[in-house]
Amino acid sequence: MEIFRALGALIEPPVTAEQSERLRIARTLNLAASESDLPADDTYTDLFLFQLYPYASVYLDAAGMMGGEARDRIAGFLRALGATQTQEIDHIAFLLAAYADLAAGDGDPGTVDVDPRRFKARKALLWEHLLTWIPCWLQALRRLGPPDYYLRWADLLEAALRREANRLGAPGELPLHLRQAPDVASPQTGATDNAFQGLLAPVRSGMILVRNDLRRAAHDLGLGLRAGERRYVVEHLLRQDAGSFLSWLEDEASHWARFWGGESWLGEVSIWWRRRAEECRETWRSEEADD
Amino acid sequence: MTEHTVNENLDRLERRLSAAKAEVEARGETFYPGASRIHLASFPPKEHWDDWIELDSTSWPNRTEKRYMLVPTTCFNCESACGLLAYVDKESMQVRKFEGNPEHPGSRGRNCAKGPATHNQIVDPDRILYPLKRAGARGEGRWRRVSWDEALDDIAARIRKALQDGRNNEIMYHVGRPGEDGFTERLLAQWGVDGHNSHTNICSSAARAGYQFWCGMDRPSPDYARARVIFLVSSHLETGHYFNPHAQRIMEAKKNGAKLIVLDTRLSNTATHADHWLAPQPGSEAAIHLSIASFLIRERKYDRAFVRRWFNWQQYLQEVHPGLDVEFENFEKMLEAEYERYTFEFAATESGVSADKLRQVAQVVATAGSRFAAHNWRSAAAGNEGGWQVSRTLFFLSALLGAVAVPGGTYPSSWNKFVPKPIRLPRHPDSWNQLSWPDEFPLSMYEMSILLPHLVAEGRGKLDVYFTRVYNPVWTNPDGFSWIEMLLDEDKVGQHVALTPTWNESAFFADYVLPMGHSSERHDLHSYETHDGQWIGFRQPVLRTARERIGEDVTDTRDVNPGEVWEENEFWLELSWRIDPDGSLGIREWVESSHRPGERLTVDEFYGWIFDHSVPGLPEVAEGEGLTPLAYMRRYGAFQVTTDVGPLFLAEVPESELEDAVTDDLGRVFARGTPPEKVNFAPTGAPPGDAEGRHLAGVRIETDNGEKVLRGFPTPSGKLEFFSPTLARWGWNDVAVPTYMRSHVHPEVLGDRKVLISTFRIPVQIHTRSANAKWLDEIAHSNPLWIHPQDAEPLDARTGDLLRVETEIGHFVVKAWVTEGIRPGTVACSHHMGRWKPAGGDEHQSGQRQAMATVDLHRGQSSDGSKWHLDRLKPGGPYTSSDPDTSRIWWTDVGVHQNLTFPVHPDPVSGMHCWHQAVRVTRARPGDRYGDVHVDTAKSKQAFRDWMAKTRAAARVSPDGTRRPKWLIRPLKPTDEAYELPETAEA
Repeated sequence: MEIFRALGALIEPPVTAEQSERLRIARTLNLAASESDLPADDTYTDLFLFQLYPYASVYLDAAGMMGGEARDRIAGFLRALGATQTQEIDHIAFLLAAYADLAAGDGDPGTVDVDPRRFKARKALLWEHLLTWIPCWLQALRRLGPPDYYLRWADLLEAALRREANRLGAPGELPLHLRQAPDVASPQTGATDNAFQGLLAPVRSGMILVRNDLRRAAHDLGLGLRAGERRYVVEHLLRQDAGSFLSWLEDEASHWARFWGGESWLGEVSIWWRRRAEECRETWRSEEADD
Repeated sequence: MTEHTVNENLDRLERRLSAAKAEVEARGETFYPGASRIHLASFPPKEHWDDWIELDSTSWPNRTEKRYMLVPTTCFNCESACGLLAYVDKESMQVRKFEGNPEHPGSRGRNCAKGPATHNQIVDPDRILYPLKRAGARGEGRWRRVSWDEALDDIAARIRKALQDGRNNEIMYHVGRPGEDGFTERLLAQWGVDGHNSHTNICSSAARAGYQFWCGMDRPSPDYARARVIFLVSSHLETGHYFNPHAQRIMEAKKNGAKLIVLDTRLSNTATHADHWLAPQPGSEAAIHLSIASFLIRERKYDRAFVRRWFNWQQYLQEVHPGLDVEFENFEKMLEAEYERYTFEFAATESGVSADKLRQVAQVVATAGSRFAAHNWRSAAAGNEGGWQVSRTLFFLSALLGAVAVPGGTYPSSWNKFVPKPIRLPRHPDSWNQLSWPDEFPLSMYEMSILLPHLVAEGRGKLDVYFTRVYNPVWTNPDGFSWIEMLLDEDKVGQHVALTPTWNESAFFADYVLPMGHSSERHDLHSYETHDGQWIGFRQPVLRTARERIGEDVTDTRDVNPGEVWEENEFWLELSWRIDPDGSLGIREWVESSHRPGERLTVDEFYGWIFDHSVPGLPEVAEGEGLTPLAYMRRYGAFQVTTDVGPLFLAEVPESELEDAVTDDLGRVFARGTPPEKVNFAPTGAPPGDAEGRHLAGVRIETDNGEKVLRGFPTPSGKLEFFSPTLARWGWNDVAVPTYMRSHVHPEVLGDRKVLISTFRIPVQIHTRSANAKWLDEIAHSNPLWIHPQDAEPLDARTGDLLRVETEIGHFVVKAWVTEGIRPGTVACSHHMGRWKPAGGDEHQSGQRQAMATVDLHRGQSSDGSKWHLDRLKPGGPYTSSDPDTSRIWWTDVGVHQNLTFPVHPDPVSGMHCWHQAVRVTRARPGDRYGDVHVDTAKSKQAFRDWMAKTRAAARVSPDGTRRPKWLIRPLKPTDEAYELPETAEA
């Protein structure tokens, strides 16, 4: 399972002095042939520091931000496994490395070499903390139009995850992160704050809205883009032309519902996410109707 | 692509990855680019340490690459010796910054603020760069630059003359921050001088006593990371002194669910992390421990098997209850009776912490099993008369739980520390220095250094050459004006040599000020207890190593250090060489090269020998990397000698050692076989053999697998000494088992006074050498008086108001900080600030201007000249220097020097200075100015006499005519003959 560790290492912030090590790994995985194929530091910064934060809690926690209960769940799970605790335990690189550790030395499922407890933990890590969010995160990455290097990286990670899902089989019940996720809310049903938070928290809305998406909305709708955090931008798009923006949101939710509809390999997980996106679409559509 | 094809591709990539990784790692390199930067461990891979590239932050927004050579050393700012990596700019060959060394097993790449701030210290515009010799009267502040040769020849001649005259005890070396394990002790021993004097009795004597009387080793090594319950009476250590290695493991344990119990009268940084914070009345801590012990005993929640095997209960019954049969059940009955009185209610009355809370904490302790990690170092032990019972009663809890030298428990330090055998072992001096080891303190844990001015004033001796080495007794010790009086008297101190990197209050009263290097400018080899393992850390002059890496040959550290700053090891070797030019004193041979007879030993030969011969596993690991052991240590700066040391007391004594073995009625096994070769020279007790010349090989123990001879503990009984026969036979039978002793600041003696706690400091500062560390100063530069609102209200005091704090001998004027973070009735003042320099010094005597106030230091009007005043003339503030940052200093408050107003309080058993003070706090009076200090040293002398009256002198209590039990640790051990009390004293 070294491939998970290697893919994790390549998604860590690049350091100039370690370019040769990164290239060595990338070359081994056929992701790059020379240094010029490696993305520049500012590309990394734009993708993963400004747009698509590589932390599970951002996508699985009800607040849609780093930390919170989602991170506590992951930390608790890894603590029970005796893994080293770190400040940023839900970073994708750490989770992939943890998965590699757990899978290391384990035999193929179904063989006599498999330690049942270890297998159970490995399966739980895969389904609870990786497959609950990485597939849609990879989709969001692709939508950002990153350099080919990251597209190949995403394809490879998805292929590796699919293989693991097939090998280990589907879980008996829906992952806890999803079971405990609160619904998306509209301004009609709850405080406005809660509605905006729900919209921008993927586990509640079923979709990932990054800064670029909102920029695209402004561009496509001919609206002004206010500089600020995403919530501020959304508020101002709504203020300028609520009808157009809500319609745009409906299209986005449909996109994500379609995406999840095509990810049948994830079984109940994809069904849950698809429903989340559809519910969000309906909720905000009714908002539109009420207006 | 089909699923099958995709999976085949994945399999192929997996194989390629594994092969590539194996190939890279076979070359000793790192496949993945360092530890993950997503968490805190972010380090350059070691194979890049010769050429590491980073963008130059000062060139921003331009992307300018800087190339560095990374050279490890260890921090010198507190004792724990965390690993540092110096980033040496390859263009300028100067250090640009310090970060953590990931190869260091103790600190694991992490540092506190003091580590990186080493850079401030090495570029400090006020640091001393050249040897200076006093040009006027001592203390006048006039200096002239001299050569090292002049200083060395003068000092060496003086020492040589003293040795030739048989005045060996007039040579004294007084150390603050320890450097190399045992180096100077051995050197002095070879000089034939019992002149090692340490700062221990203002630091850790009390805690050491508590531990040593139990297990023969004088420091604890809690295995925090694996503990279930952590119990700290040591917040100073965990947030100030040893902060980094301990704190990181405590937090690791907390993340794994461990419960943290903290006893601290203040809401310290450690207390803020506690699950249970108890703020007891200062001095009541041992009562709390014993109430928990009583609970464990009463409820039968202790580890009976462990207690039966490893407590010296047989000896306790024989000597304390001779009418009872020596049966374990009788011991249990007596144990219960002994501690019956220590109820939660009793402890609540003493401590002010509710009985319910104490019961709750006791129940948490009982859940720990053997995973109970407990620690006390300074803190309450250092504050109170009888404070040594704080650590002794705390270890009692560990011992009852069987939490000794097991995972998650507390190990004796010497088992978690490794001191390699040096190139040469010294002789034992044949004299006993009464100035450091007065007969009144036969059980003191190290030298009675706080008493030196008083003992000299009494005419017990004088000093011809007195070295203060990275030590500042005038400022750090209590009763600093008595030190000034001694240092000003040339009949008492013939020559004072201050070895220091920076100006300090004692150096102002020196004859020579000799500049010594900071952590990146000197050699030291050391090891400290940080976890259940043994490691060595190598401090080295990084520019010397950097230059050697590029092929230059550096033979003297002065060649690479700034100015003429030297390192101590080369200094001491050279001084020894000059003391004995013809070899007639037996010193020269000790510092002579084996490789080049007739030449002085070099540091490369010195350390090369140690690493080649004395560190198990190092030569093999070094060879694996194609390096010599010395080159390996220069490259990585640390080596893990072993991990998981485990319970060494359970090691079975081999048959071969049990030749002619006899077992006494206590189960001690004495034998004539050859004991195992000593590999680890970490200090431990040295229990005596039997009268027929056999050595104590072990103890006979009934184990689960039958009776065996096990190694046991280095105590006279070979067991954990619940009952200390040493205490009992040396005059302290009344406190020979873990006991609560009322402090000298017990509420019953306080009257209308309050307890002043001074045994803590802000974690970003050290005692003396960080005064010009600008990053640290900006964070912490003052030490206001913590006072509870209930105590502030009657004084109508608000934060920032001036208060006068009166001690037995004088007073100081300080600002109030009104806070609920302190127990009512108690005030507290951090000891990390209040630096000063006398007005009027010449251009050489700059002081440390970032944190020193300028003062008028003078004697007042009194017939005996005993009234001293330190009046503040000028606070801190900006100034112009080679560092533009000094003109940006925005603070003027540099704190108050409170220690000057404390008389000596030597604990009659441990010798510890009992720091807590009974004080009166009032509003400042008209004319009082912030920072003023006034003291009457006549009152200091009276306090000295009062406390000396509490002692039980060896001449009165020694059971065998010696000055001190020989088995107790002593940094430098004289000959057996020197241990004998003089006949007049015995009479």
